[in-house]
Amino acid sequence: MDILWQRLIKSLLIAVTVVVALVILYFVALDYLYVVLGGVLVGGLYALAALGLALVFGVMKILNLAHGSMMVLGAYLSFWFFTLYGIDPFISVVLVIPILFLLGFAIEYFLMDKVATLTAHQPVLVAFGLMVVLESLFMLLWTADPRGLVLPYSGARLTVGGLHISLTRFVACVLSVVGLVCLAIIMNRTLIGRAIQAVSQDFKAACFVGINARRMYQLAFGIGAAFAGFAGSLISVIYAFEPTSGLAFVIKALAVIVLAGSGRISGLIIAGVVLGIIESVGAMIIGGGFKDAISFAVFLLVLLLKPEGLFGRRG
Amino acid sequence: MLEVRSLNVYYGNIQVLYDVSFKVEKNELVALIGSNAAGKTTLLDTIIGWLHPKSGSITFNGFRIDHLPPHKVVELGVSIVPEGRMLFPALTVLENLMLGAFTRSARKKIQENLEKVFEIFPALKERKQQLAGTLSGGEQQMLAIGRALMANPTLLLLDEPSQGLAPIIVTKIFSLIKELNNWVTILMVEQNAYKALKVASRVYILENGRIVREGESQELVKDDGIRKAYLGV
Ligand SMILES: Nc1ncnc2c1ncn2[C@@H]1O[C@H](COP(=O)(O)OP(=O)(O)OP(=O)(O)O)[C@@H](O)[C@H]1O
Ligand SMILES: [Mg+2]
Repeated sequence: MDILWQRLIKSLLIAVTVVVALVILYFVALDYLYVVLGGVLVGGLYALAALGLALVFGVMKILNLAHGSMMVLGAYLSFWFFTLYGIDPFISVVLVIPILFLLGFAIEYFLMDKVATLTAHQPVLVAFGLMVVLESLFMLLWTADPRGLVLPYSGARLTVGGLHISLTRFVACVLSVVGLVCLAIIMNRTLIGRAIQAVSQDFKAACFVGINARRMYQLAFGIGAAFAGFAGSLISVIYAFEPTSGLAFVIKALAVIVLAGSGRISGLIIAGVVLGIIESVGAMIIGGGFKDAISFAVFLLVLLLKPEGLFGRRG
Repeated sequence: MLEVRSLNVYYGNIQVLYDVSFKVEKNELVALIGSNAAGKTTLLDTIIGWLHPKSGSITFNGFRIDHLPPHKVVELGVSIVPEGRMLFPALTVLENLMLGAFTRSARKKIQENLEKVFEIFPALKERKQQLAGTLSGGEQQMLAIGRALMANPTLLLLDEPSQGLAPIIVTKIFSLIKELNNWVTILMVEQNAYKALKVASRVYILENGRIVREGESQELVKDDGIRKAYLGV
């Protein structure tokens, strides 16, 4: 209970600081406030993108390089549902999530499971191969043209206290946070979640208490893919994407994880928001074309200067 | 209840168990004594399904279990207290115990078994919210046994329960094991031959992957060869 209170107070303090900073910006530099707000909104999405990758890494110790391509797949599926059937991406996301879950489950079941018993770096190569395969598939199905979704309400804005906020970005951010909280509940409050945690702490011990550890790997990989698809759907309403966008996405997700230093969900949210702000402020200063380069630079700088991240422990 | 026949177990090309056969009857407390690297852990790992034999068979209540994975073997009613305890250090005592009752059959009896475990190990009840990694060695061993009991086993496998514990604690653990035998069949693997011979009804001796002796404990304690090799007298 005590730990919970401490964490609550800590989060409240951070929230208050952020609000105070925003209020100051409001009066001092309105331009910058918009940039920062944009960063905050996109930060939720970054955290969501990082979540699935962190889960798979935490449980299976596999760096799933195909995670970004799975996000792109989620984006293309949303695009398909919208252009072929006119289904709004905020609705079709409930289809994209289970589709990606099944895909992830199947990939682990038929592919990763078979190579996991070989050497340690084999699964990473498989993930890399998967990324290449997915990219080619996207090219085949949807061509190399950049795609984006233009919804009837794409230009809509929310106006709060004289501030205009993009409706789609706001909804995407809220849904991201909902997704993050859902996963936290699954992991901490359900039997399956606790079993997945047990497997990640000690594989052999988990087997010995009667957990089907390989099944938990399949579930974890499926959940990771489902969350990639979730993030991808949300991205499709905000950004343009193309078959090869996956690499930039996975690097961004990695940057969030490295910055957070732990797979804890609160840490990922804060790191996502921090990265979002750094990126949008940086883009304003040196130009929008450098956005991806900025997250890559953050990734490298954190590794160089503070390898334990914001919330991790050294060693 | 458990019958192991002509078991040959390998790690890759290296054979570790040679033609191992033995039996555990219902309600018995059987000890398997062997020195370092005799193959004791390998044997228990094979029974629980972590390893699979190259040849030979393991039957439990008439079922062949030698090709089942651990979660299936546990579901059938075999439970293990592994070497080095293998707790989930970042989880609390209570969470460790709850994970012990993961199988479907164990979940049905979770409250009943939890009360039983807390009755046998009152120290665990006092510390149920403490992280497992912060318990003392003796408490950790109790938790490992408690977690195994939560699986509602009919056969309990114990891998060196005395390992790394102070002499007083060792005595305590062994008397607890003797008590546990009132409601569960036990197969215990030990290096501490003196203590094992004291609590077990029957004993097998494993040397370099082979069973070299077997017999009633009372009879083996009197044996000169055993006294010299294992009891240091
Ligand atoms: N994973 C493994 N791969 C290869 N060889 C192994 C492996 N585990 C154990 N061995 C070898 O198998 C033999 C038996 O080991 P085992 O752990 O079963 O012995 P033990 O009787 O439990 O010993 P101890 O009393 O030290 O626990 C040893 O020679 C050991 O080196
Ligand atoms: Mg051993």
